[in-house]
Amino acid sequence: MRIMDRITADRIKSGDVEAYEDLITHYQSRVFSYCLRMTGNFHDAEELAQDVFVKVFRHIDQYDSGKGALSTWIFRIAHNNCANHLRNQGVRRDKPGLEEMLHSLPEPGDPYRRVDQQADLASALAGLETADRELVLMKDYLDLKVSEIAQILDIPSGTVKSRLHTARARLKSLILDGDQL
Amino acid sequence: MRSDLKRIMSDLPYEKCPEGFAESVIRRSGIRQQAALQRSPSRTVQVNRSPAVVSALLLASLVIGNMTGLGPSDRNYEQLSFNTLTLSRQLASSIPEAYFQYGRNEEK
Repeated sequence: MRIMDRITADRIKSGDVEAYEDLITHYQSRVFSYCLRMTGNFHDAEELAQDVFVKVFRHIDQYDSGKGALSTWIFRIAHNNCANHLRNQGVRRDKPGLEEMLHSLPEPGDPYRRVDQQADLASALAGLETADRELVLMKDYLDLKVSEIAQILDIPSGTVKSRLHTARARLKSLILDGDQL
Repeated sequence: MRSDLKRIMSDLPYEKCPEGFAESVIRRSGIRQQAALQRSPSRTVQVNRSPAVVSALLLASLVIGNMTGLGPSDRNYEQLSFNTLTLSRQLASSIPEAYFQYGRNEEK
């Protein structure tokens, strides 16, 4: 897998537009979704996600396949972009708007209960602090491994596990407070 | 509860990217311009400068500087140095072939 990552990186480095487009197509939904659920603003998320891929191209020579997967490196850029954005926005925008969080829940036609549960979950996620929200999103939404999250956040795996445990407990209490799920 | 949470989280759909997202990123990145530059005849300016290449360039520059009187401020200086280096490499790679060719001819 790392070999493919290195080949992809080399192709992009050499100015291969097709390889770059393939990479964007492959990761765009996950990166954009992460940015949207972190910021709670559709236009900010679009801008941040675009910036992630522009940075991927401009700094591709800094990617080292020996240190980690390309996906981990991309999500690290996404994390840094969102963290900088939220820091600049200040505390007032720390918690994203529920409306934007619910932006693309399943179309009507899905079982109502599932839609309700997902709406409740999106609402509870919006209520979490930034640090808790990003951990839960990375692990349970983006399905990243603990070791990958540790690399992205630059903290030990054990710290990821303990913070994740706390974040899930907070999410659970937010859901129960709202009598949800 | 936790397994429910995980299941619903993983069922939560990914957002669809806005229309034209990839194209917009490609335009902003400037990759097409870079690709065009690399295809153009003036690609010699896009040299991967490894330490060995830099050392060789410096050496070639010194020699050229002495021979031509050109200095680093002259526009053609770097190009001239690089061309000299390329020629030197071609010459160096041709020597063994000529040598072995000569050896075979002698044996006949």
